[in-house]
Amino acid sequence: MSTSAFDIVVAPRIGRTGHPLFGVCALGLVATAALVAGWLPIAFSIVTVFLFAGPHNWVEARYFLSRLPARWGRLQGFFLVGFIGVVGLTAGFAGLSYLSDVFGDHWLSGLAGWNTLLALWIASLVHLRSRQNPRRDWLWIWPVTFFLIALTWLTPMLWSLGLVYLHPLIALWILDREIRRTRPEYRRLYHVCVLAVPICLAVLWWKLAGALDLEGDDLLRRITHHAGAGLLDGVSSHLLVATHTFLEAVHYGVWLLAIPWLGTRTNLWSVPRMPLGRRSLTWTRGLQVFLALSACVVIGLWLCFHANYPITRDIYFMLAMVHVLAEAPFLLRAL
Amino acid sequence: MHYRILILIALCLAFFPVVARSNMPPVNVPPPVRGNDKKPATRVLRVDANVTIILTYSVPGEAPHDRARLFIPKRIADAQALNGAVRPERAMSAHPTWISGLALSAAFVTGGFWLVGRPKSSGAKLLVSLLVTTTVLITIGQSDLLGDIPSPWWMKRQPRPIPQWNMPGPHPLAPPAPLAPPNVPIIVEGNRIQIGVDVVILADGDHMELVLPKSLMPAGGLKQVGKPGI
Repeated sequence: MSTSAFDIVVAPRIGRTGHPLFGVCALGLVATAALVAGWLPIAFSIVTVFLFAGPHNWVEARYFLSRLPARWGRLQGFFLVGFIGVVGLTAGFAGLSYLSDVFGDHWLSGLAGWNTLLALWIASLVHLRSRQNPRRDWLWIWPVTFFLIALTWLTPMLWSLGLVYLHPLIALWILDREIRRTRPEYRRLYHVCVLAVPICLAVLWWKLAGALDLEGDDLLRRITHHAGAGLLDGVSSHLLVATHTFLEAVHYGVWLLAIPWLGTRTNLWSVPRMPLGRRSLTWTRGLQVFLALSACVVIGLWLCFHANYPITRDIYFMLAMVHVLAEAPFLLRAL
Repeated sequence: MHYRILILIALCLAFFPVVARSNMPPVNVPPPVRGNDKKPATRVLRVDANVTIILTYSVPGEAPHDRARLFIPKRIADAQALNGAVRPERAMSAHPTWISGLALSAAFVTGGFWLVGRPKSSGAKLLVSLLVTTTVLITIGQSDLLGDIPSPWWMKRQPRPIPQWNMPGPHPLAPPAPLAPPNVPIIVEGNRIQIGVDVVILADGDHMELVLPKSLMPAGGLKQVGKPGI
């Protein structure tokens, strides 16, 4: 029996997994956030918004700039609809907030209309993205969108409250796509860590189901109403604020810790290496100036929070709709 | 895998309010003190051409002649308008729901188009499962859906006789006895009158009416003072 001279020895495939330290840090962050949010929800909310709201927006802006293609090409329609939607819907949201006295009883109709436009905008983006790949069949988005529109005209306030709670979860999805792109060996470990979020939510709701309502001054009322205390009768405001603050802390952790760490392997921290930065020196300098000015805005936001936290908080959450809306097109592009 | 986890998280967020509102008692936690419970529900009514109160003294023979009656039209006694604050969600309920219906119809139409456009095997399976689910739900719930609909004219039904009740105690299907107003004697102490009052909410009407027993009418009869209706 002769043997071939070219016996190919196939080495056993060794699965590459992420470093356990990543899992330890992620689980520690989630658990700590849940613990502090449940114990001191108001203080935790004030401190996290004060410290991390501005910086996380700055990192988001940097990330979105790094993900923009140098030339849109076939994605021109997608990005045009995306940017027009972000700017238009933010302006509409700001107008709705300031003109609530003018609208009177029709303010709710205005809110339902804004929610409708938001749903149609996202559906349009999904439709455009679906057409870019023949293997994608995402047209189910239209019946789902119309169903959600029907819901928003029945309960516009609850619909908006749903956005408040679902928005922090979008960061987890974006992080998943970023891990898949840059460090796929960490993806399985990341999925295990994400399971800690519903477990912590379950513990929070179990422990705080019978908690007393939070009582306090005007700032506390703003925070509790933001979390839905005025809409969900019978649910403790302590529980609502703790839930919202926990999810926001996870959101901040993703943008301030995970994304920058993953960005060490990408062009996140190097403007000349970004697609837009490679177009020309003018673009490079323009992006660097924009990011520097954004950093000054973050410092200014801290000063405004220090000077008058309640008013600054209201203005910030109104204008922060930009970053909430901007996540939609970039998440869809990552899918 | 990742989107399933996020869907799980979203479902948890949706269902946990139900769990939180369950009857689980708190452990060693005093009952919550809600400030709103201490504030009485009030509504300030300005007596003008839109809101009038008519004072009437009932004649003897009108039963119960020893009780006062206050008739309030429903539009004035609307509980939703108490405290001058209408819940935003209830204000929205007055908004026509045709937009929701239109959107729901669009959802069904676009869903049908999407099912038809899919490969035959998967689209047909989804459609069949939807039809089966709908049929099962209608079969189960038809008693609720059709219970109050009167039988058509071609299905004349004889009235079912009430079976004879031979058991001790009142018949369970017998209508409850009408509530008799408590016998509260009229006590007059200076300018204060202690009297039983029956409040009646009327389905329509444009004015309130207070009917007092004739025995309380001041000597010399009533004199019109001020604006009519006051």
